[in-house]
Amino acid sequence: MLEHLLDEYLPLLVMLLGTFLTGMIIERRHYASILRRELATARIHHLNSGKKLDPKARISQSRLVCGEAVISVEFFRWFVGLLHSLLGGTMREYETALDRARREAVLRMKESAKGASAIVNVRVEHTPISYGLSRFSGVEAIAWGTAIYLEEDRAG
Amino acid sequence: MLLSNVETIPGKRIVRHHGMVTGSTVRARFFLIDLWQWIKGFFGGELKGYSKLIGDTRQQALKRMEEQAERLGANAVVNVRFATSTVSLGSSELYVYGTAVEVVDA
Repeated sequence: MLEHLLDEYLPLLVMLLGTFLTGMIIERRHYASILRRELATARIHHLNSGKKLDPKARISQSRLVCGEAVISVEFFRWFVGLLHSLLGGTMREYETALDRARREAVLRMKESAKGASAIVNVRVEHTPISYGLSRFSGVEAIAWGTAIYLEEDRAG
Repeated sequence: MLLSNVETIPGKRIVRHHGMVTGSTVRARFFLIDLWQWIKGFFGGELKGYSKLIGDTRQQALKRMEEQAERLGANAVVNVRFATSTVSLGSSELYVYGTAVEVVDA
């Protein structure tokens, strides 16, 4: 009986264990890279206010900057999410995927604004993407804002 | 063409409004790339092929909006906003809109 069950569900168990490990390793490495790059770009402040800029500010140049990222949800996470959606409660497994996509998008936006003094009016938007069989298999995030260069920055 | 998502172009003065301009694109990747992304997505991590798809889509949508603004005789677009959606599997739609204006040095 047990042997029969094992025969039946062994591929599923292998897939779950395998994707749990790959997902964990990839996420850990991604978070390490996010933290390292967030420190490297900490000089540029980004704010989501600033729609009306102070006209007295001595801004020499401005530019629209964007960043985007697509982060997938691996099989294990999707499976846990499926069980979670039946039981209810906080879906932690999806929270980290969304968090990674948004932070990666904001980071890419900041990295494309090298030398800027600040990025104002930052907006982040995301769309769930699906392909294959599952309803939710990843998230795309896009971040954009206006990079501003103050006069002393250009001189320096 | 100057672009910003605030109400003015910082350091410039708006002298004339030309109304709203828009740009919209739907793009997809080659199906083998879709297949590869599906395999990668099974194991988790970033889908670089789709990140590139959104980047290309954004550039094309912005270009279309800029062309429209140029035809109206504007030299800047302010209050630029994006909206994204997934139209069908493996494709991405991006809609970008803003206000075309004419600016001069303040």
